[in-house]
Amino acid sequence: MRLSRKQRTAIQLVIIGISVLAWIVLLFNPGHIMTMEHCHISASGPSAASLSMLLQMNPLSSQMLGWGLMVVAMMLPKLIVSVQMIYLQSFRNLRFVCALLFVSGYLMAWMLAGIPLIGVIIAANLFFPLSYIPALIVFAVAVVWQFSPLKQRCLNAGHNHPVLPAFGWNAMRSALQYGAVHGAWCIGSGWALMLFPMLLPQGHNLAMLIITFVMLSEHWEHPVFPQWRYSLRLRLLRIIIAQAKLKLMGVVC
Amino acid sequence: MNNFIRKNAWDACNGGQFKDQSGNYTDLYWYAKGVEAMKALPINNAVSWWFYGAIHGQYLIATAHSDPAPASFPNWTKIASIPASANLNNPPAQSLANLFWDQCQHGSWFFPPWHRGYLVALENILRDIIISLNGPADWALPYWNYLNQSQTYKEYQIPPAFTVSALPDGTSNPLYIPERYGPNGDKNIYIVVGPDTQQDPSANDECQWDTIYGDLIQPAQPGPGDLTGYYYGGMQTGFSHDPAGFGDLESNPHNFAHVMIGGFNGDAWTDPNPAEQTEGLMSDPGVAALDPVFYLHHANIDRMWTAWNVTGKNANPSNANWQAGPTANGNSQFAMPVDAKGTPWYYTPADVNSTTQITFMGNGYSYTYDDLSLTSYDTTPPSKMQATISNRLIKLGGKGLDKGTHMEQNTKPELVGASDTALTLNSGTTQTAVKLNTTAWKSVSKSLLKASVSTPPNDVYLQLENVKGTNNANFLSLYINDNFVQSVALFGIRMASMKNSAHGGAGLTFKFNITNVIDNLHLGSGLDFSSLNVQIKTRNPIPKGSEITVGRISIYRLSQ
Repeated sequence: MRLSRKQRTAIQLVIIGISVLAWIVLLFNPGHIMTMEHCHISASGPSAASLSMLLQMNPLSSQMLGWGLMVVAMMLPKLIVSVQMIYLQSFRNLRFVCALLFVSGYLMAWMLAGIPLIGVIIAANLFFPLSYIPALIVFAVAVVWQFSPLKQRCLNAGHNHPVLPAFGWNAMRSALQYGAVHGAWCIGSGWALMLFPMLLPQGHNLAMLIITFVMLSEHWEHPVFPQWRYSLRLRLLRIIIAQAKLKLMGVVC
Repeated sequence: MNNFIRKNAWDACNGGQFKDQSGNYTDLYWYAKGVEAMKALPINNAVSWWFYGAIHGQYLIATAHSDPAPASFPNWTKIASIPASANLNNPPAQSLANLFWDQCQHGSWFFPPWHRGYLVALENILRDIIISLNGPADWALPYWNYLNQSQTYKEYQIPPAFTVSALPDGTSNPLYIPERYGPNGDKNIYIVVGPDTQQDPSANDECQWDTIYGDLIQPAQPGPGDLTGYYYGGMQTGFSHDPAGFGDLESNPHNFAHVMIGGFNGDAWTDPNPAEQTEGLMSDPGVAALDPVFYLHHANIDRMWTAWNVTGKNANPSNANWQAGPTANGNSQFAMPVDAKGTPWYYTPADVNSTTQITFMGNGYSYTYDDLSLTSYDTTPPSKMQATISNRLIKLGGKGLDKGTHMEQNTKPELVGASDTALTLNSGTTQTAVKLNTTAWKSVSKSLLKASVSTPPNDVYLQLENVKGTNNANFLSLYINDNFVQSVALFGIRMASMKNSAHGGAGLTFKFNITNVIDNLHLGSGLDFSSLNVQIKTRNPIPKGSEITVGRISIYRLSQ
């Protein structure tokens, strides 16, 4: 059983719309929530005073807000298929609630992950202000992680779409739980990629766009046996090229 | 360009024999010689029997499309009929395995074209071998039409050439394998043919009355055009891996025949220790193509598809996403090796759209069948195909019906009932109450009460979601409030339940159209109840440690 084309499209549009809005906010970067304000506090290097100053200039609350927006912008499109399935598999009166709880569970997981990851960002700014070194280190880690069996295991688990209970509290609790678990596997596969743009002193918007493309692509690959595999997992690119080719050939119905 | 003719393995081979009445070798003999030559090659040779079997599916190594093999059966190293010369310890390079192995397309609208290309590639390899052995240059793959109601031969039986132990020259018969147990587990290999009734799951060709190959999103109006709601060739397999379900051709007879031939070793209901090792090879896509009868079964399925096109005058999809194949959605292209080192023939459904206009390695290739009758068993459409929406409206007392009135198709699904928890099936019958959502169920009732041309009645479907397990050699028969609905075969359940497969371990999904049952309940005692009594009956006992689970039983209504 599948949703009608109209229903599927409506869900896609709503999710993509929210994601685009979040992108717009991020690109305008109000109150510098997406970038860490730096200061050369002390010539003698990091200290409690410089940490205090850094936190004063970049309160944790605004960092978390920025992080949340980034997650919404980059990750929400990954949830389209899951939300469509929840919508299909829920009673009409629970469709929206269950979908919302699923998304909330997912975002909660990412917000929790944001605490240590923002810690890393603060530390990087404290020890290497305006330096590309932390970004390069994380990039190297991300590359290794990218091809590792552990990452593949996380990606595979992200394809687990359980059929949820349909009635009452059970349905709602399961949707929330499913969102949190789905989020956890998503964090497992994408934490390093998410961290990388946040550590770039310059050009992190462009990096975020590229990373979003990569993460969407790899999320849409079929599960494969976890082992070291040097694959870029660019399914989204393959789809775009194939569909463009079909359109150019003028054979699309 | 030659037009090769694939012939009936019973009628054209002297009743399924190696020699005809004049003593000349038949197509089955030459098939055996070709298979023998392929079986003599080691698995790392891309045109060996073992390599070709693995193209369909395998349990030997992990590839880009599969998990590592289970340690015990059905690991290929545990299969008695694979000789040491296959050299299973020395598989081909991983890149070759990734390109060619584990490709079979099931539960997908690519099922018919992928298998057509598979047969074409194998047929060409076999023909080259046969010609080198001074066999006929026009040899083509025979087919086993188990649905044929011949007065001369019992064609529902496997052709004798597959069951004798020796070729006419006294050498071992490569078409015989011991791991074939039949529908009753007594090594009598035959297909139970008949209407699908509650007595016993039966294979038939009711699917041939479908007139729609497939569609993008929703099932068609059941009745003329679409037997079950899954269409003839299957629903569109697109971007996401959500289970699309089996098309009608794939479900029955394809899946039914697989499970009946492979079967279950031993007297199913008296065996005190049923075990997975007792499944026949044909029951599981990961070992099925090791059995030489696999290709004759698929030649018959391909023949039915051809007849559906040619005689039934039904069209394949013109949709570019079907024509271009899985690559249109970023998936791997179909690839078959044509020589020992693994030179690939890449093809799309468009390349094999018609048997007389195939593009094979850049050249034209053509074949047909000696019998393109639309049906072999059912010569008149089954009654459920005649149950048009007009008939249904009349039955329900609907108003405003004129002949030729155009009815909109119901397309919006809504969940109206579901089981509370996952269900583990028992051997035999498992019964459960599927709770209905009061408000949603009232909508169904209301739609039946107010049925008219402008407000067509809802269609109602039951879906067994995420059916998982390892027991392929089984059937499930579904009953609603003691009314038989339909049987389904569990061919492929093990592979679909593997975590790292394209299915993501979701298992199989089976959809049943229960509209007719609901209509009758409505006309009988009415729909004023809070749950449906669902019974699921297994045909064979479930082996220990091989449980079958159903993630959820869901009831959907389809409305406009």
